[in-house]
Amino acid sequence: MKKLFSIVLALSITLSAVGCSGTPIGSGGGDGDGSKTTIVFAMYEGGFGTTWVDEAIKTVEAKYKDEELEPGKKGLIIDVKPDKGYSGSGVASLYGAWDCDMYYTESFSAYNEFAKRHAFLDITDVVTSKVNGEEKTIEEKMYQSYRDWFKVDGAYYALPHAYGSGGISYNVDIFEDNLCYFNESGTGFVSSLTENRSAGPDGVSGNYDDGLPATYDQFFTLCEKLANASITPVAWSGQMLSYVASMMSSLAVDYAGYDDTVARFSYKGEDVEVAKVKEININDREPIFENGVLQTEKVKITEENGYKVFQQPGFYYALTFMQKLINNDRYYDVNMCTGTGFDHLGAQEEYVYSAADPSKRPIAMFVEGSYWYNEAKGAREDCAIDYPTEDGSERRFAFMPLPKANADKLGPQTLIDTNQSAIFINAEIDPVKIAPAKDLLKELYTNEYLSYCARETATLCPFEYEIAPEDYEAMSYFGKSLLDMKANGTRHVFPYSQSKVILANPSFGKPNADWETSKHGTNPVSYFIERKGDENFGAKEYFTSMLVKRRPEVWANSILPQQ
Amino acid sequence: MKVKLKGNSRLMKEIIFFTIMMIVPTVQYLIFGFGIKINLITLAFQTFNVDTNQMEWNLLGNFEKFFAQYNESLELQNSIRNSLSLPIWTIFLSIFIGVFFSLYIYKKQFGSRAFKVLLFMPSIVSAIVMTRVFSMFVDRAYPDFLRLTFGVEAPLGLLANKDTRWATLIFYSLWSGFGSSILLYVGAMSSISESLSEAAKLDGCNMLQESIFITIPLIYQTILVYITTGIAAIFVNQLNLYSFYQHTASASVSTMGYWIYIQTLSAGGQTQNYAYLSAVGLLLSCITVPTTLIIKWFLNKVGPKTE
Repeated sequence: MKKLFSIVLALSITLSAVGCSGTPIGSGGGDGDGSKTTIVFAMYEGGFGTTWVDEAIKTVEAKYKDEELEPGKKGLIIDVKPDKGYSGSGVASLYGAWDCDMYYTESFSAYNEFAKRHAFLDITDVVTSKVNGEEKTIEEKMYQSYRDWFKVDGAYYALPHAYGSGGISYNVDIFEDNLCYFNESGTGFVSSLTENRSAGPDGVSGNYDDGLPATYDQFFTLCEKLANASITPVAWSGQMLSYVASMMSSLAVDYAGYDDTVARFSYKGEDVEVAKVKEININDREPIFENGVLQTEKVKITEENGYKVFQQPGFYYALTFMQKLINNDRYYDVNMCTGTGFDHLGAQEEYVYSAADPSKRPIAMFVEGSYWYNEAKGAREDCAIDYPTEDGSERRFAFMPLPKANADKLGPQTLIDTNQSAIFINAEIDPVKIAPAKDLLKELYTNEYLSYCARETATLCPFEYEIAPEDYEAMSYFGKSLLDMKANGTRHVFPYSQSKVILANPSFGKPNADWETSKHGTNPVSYFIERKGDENFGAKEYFTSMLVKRRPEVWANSILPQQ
Repeated sequence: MKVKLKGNSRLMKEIIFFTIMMIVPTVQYLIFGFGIKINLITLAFQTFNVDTNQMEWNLLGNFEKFFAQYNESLELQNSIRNSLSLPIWTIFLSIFIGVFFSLYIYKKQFGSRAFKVLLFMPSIVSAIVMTRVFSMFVDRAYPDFLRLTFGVEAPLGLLANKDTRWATLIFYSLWSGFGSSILLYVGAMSSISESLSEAAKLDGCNMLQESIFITIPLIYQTILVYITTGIAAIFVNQLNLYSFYQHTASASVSTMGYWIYIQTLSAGGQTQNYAYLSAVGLLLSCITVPTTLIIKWFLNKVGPKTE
């Protein structure tokens, strides 16, 4: 008996050999009965979900249903493997053990390095082709800042997909029920929904953002109104303060505008507005204020003086916004926003339910990425079942165009893409699968399919395309709000470029890198929460510490790639 | 002759059996233990050239970067400081309280079974579930309790409040670490001969004297294991910060274990970032390895002897 037990125990050790399969995430083997050629498509299972590819897959599978791509196999199956492990860092760290044919991933900062290693299949022929008889090629449709990143040494190896940005969403029903829209003069609120409203942040009357807070001052006036009505003005996940920092980055980028933001990430630009700085000594510097106003100047940006991009005044104004918000407990849910008790999903659920559950205090606005709406699909559906509306319609949420620091800055929005998604084909793909894999890519990037994706996921992709009327009608209110922003001049910047500074310091493309300081940590939200009400610590001190962190000496010695 | 052959045959079988048994773990160790560590060490002395897209030898580049970053980063400074101060709480206080509770349980005092359950529970329940439950308790239920019971306006949770944050993290770290240590302490105490305890009682020893002069010296080697492994892990201990705060733990509570973990997550799979982190790990190992060995030698020398 003992001997038998020893043998069984010894044999069980060999089970560890299964760890040698090289398939650490999900399953790369593919499903199906083996009678069809299988393409395995690994997809990151994040806020956008993975079901948006299903229709494209059906189309391509139908195209190849009678084709014999491999001997003895007729037809094609494209097998989707959704898993959270297929994030950018997850995919990159598994390089060498990639066993899927195609990948959809997000936050893929390693793209350039892997493209140069030829880890991906060259898809330039796909990107430079006109799909579905369209007038423009995929490349021509793609936003410029994305082209600059995805084209490496003259070739394309991946394509971007849905973008997302940090920002503020609002509950349209609460806004309408409480008349939270500014009147035409902007000095107060409307007394009815039919009354003329202010022009909104873009400064143009008669469009999607009329009545919404155009400036920081108006935003806080709105918060005051909501707080007086026993409505929590703003909330966010206290555990995921990085999303709030991401919103602050959006405020900073919007202040800078499109051209200055492109200059910031490419380290190439003329007349870029930066704060004036006084160099006290080699280790110390401070911003210059006059009568309490930050002084600025316009400079040429190069890689050598790239530290100046961290002097963009938008950072300072975003800090003032956050400081004012945190310092007033009435403007946000202190419990939800400062503790670890609410992760991002819990906060989304709380926000959604707050509008419906009469035992909860309503929350008007929510700070999260624009992908939160799709990510909260389960919570929204559950809420609709638990607390259906009287007429059975969906509750309305919308993505708010961010307020501007002052009235001089009114205009279209500029945002950065925090999603940084990419779809690529594994360079090691079986040659017989290349054609159908490329066909899938082409299908995904037709205007028709991009429009369909927008409808399904309430997100948009960085290409110029029209949304079909039927897709627009079927879109959620939230999706329409994103579309309205795009249609009214909102532009997205991809926060990576071929600049050596970015290639050597890929963290600069992530919003949280914006807020690194020498003395106050790396998250301004934590900073303001901990020092609430302390007059010695504020936006100016934090901004100063940011400037010290990126001072010329450190830039030249530690950040600029050494030749 | 027959007997000798039989003996050789048995020996040969044992050798074959031993070899088969040891091949898999040996090969696994050579690749995943030894091989990876060698690779990490060599990576520490390389940096990434963005022009050639290749790693290049640069003996001091990563180390210089670390020291430069240390001067610039409050987080890094706090992380090192917090990591160096953690042993006071997570090792010495943990051992003190752990031994106390172990003695209490070993002596089967009143409520010892209840303590057993309470102290073992964090070890049985999944760590991520425990941290979620704990954070919801201290950061949702507790503020609600203050607000509803005492009418406190906008109360902060224990982890949200900077004044209580560190103590709460230490408490949770101690509580979640008790299960395994108490198991070992109680196990070691149970191996003490009953006759020793009886003899001590006959000589007039009370429980405290018995604990100090008999029980603790006899389990000293077990305590020593905890001290040395704790010291060895001072720069690895995350204090559960990622489970509670994800990427945004305050700089005031950051530890090196957390800092390295966050940096690794942020590395994005890029080799250049891993090379830098390898160098940091190597540097920290140069501190912890000799420190651990010296402390172990010292404690062995001065500690009570079983004899």
